[in-house]
Amino acid sequence: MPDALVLDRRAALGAKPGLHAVLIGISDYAYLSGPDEPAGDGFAALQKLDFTAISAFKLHDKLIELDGLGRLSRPLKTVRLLIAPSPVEAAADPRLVAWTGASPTWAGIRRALREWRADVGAGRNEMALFYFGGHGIRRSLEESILLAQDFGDPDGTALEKAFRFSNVRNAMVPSPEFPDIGRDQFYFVDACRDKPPALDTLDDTSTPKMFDLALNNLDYRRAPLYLSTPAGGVAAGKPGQQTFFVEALLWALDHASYRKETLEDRPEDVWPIRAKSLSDGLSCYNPSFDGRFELTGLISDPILCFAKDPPSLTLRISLAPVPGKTDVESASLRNLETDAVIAAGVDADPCIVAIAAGLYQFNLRPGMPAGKPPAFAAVATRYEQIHVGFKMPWLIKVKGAA
Amino acid sequence: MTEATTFTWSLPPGFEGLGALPVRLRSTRGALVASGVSGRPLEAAPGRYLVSITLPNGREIISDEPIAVGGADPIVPPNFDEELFASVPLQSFVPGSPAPPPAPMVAAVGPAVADAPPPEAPPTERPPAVTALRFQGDWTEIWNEEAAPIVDFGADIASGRVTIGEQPVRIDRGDAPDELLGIRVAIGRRLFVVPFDVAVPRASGERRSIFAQLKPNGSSLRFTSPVSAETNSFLEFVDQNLISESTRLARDLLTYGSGHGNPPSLLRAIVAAYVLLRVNELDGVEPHLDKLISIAADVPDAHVIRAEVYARLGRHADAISALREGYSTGCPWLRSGMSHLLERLRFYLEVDAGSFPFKLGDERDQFATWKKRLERMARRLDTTELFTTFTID
Repeated sequence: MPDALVLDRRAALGAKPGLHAVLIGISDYAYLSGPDEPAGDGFAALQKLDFTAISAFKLHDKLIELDGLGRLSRPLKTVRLLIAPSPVEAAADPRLVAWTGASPTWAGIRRALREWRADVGAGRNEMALFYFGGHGIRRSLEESILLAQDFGDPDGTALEKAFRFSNVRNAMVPSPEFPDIGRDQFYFVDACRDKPPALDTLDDTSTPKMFDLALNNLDYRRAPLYLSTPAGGVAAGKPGQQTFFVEALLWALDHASYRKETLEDRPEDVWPIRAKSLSDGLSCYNPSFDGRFELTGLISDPILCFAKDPPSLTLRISLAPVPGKTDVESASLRNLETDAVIAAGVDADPCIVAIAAGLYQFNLRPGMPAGKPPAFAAVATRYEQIHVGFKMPWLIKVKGAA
Repeated sequence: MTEATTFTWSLPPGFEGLGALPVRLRSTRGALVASGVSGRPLEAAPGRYLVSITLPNGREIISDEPIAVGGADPIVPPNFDEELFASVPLQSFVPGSPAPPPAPMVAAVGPAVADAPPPEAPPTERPPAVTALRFQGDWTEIWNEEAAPIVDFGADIASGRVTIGEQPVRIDRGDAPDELLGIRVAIGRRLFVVPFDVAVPRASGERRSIFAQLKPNGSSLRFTSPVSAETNSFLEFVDQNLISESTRLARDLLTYGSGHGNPPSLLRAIVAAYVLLRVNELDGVEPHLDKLISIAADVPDAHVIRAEVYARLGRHADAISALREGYSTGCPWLRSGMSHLLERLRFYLEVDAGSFPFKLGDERDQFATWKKRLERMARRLDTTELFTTFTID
């Protein structure tokens, strides 16, 4: 069985804590029909996918990139990648043609997860990242049944090649076996959370365990869980590209910071991307995604990565009422930190301005036509901290405008 | 090394009742220097800073001008009044209490006029009042069967009716372990577990009540405390999912208790504990558990919180005992309580029997039954609501 470990810097980093990622992306389910084939009955109604393996792969690329830029909260120490790409995905990325890495079968995932836990268990400052993209079945609340690549094996029972997410997360608690397991653990579950009717036909919906569980010691973890869809919802993606969730996640890993901060372990001020800001970033990426993703778990606010410069954002401003085009002399945004002034076109509603995150004041000046009063009173807002969590559009009243 | 100085910034007159609100101190170039809460000391090196306050609707208002901190000069609080008055959501106040004072006049400087709109645009159409069916009894009991009678929630299990509109209606809780309000919506019926709030220490013959009103969307209820604006302000922060602000306020409650003339509120104590559980900040929480149970033994959430804290601390025998209490006290008021209860039962059922330092015995079968029941309930649980809400189609 090929090793899932595609990056191993344990020897190089030694005792220095690092990030341990396990990335699972399953598109080519061995026993499910293709997306263009007729779907079967029961669980066979589930079909192969065209965007989850490439999503895990893109996340792998992103982590490598962030590590290269020194932007991860901890240096990347190990990456375990288990993907089953579809032909459509292979056509989109030549590196996926004839992929020979570890397969995300139930046994393959189990092995990778156990090795991953051992690495994270090496010390309290080790950091964990778990990503699963593939088919999922909702049980309830934070629980999901995740389906491995060999799910649906006709020689097995219905859920023999499935596993419960909670079993993985509960196995990552500080326990007698791993008393100093890494404190910061990020979980991303990119799978459907609806309940297929076939589940109701089963007397027993339990799945084989990836881990035997022990009672925890003091659970000091900071372990946010990101779900790509609300309970009962369906995860989706673009064939050959990525899931909508990963599309937003890749963007958020660059942009989702609230403000510049001084961190203890950094010589320079940075823009940290924390559990909550990352969640806001997922929704900010595309307004239509708002409410689509869910953040739960032991949220706390650990930092996954950071930006060194103010992240770029698209600011939407809505003036009420919108002044006449010819009545405006100038509209601009002033950045408090840099004093930079950015022109804002106010022809459209909302008007769109590309900015870097920061504190901004919006200024609107009326024209001064000879012999007439200005069409509206000049506007100079308070400074607003503009970031991924800022509620857009920025609504600004214009007094006196018709 | 620069000597730090401390200063306190308080809310303008009329707004102290909102209790502590999150404040931030930034350099004149906008870099974050310190975070805290209003009415409590903040520490910073002497200098000039921009200060901000975050309102319960999540809006952060930043001072126009820097203020001087330290030195011989007294600290002049920046004038936020106009926007404060415009932006604080009305639900942050106690229904029926005197309205906040009118906005003071602020002298305009030059031709510039800045104005921020209120956080929520008024709905174009007010939701009409709805008739809610009232359930009083043991809510969890009726989920024993897969096809729960919830499907036909109606006169058979309803014990009364109440009309709920945009104005808050006071609901007095009876002695039944659970009380719910059910309203019809397009996809079926929404059922809201009704909490209550009382001032602490509790008085004999107290009135266990809460205000309920229809949210502008017409399909959800907002609960507000009759005890204090501080509680309602805090509920708004939590409901808006402002995690770091909610955490700061919850910590403040543990450190300082209620302040600003507000009576201590049972509901606020419970919600604060959930906030700290959510971020897994348990330092200093343990001593409050006994206090919580002494004031809220009749509230299921108090037991759930205790169970969850003990479980995370590794005190599993205590956790299991609290779980038992929690399950038999009624349905948790907060959605997080449902989640903790179910996830914890699942965990204990999955842990190898040999891992327990004590015998679970018949408890395992009991837990399995409870888990099944909770899973049925959880399938209908609305995970977007702060308070426990079920949607039955």
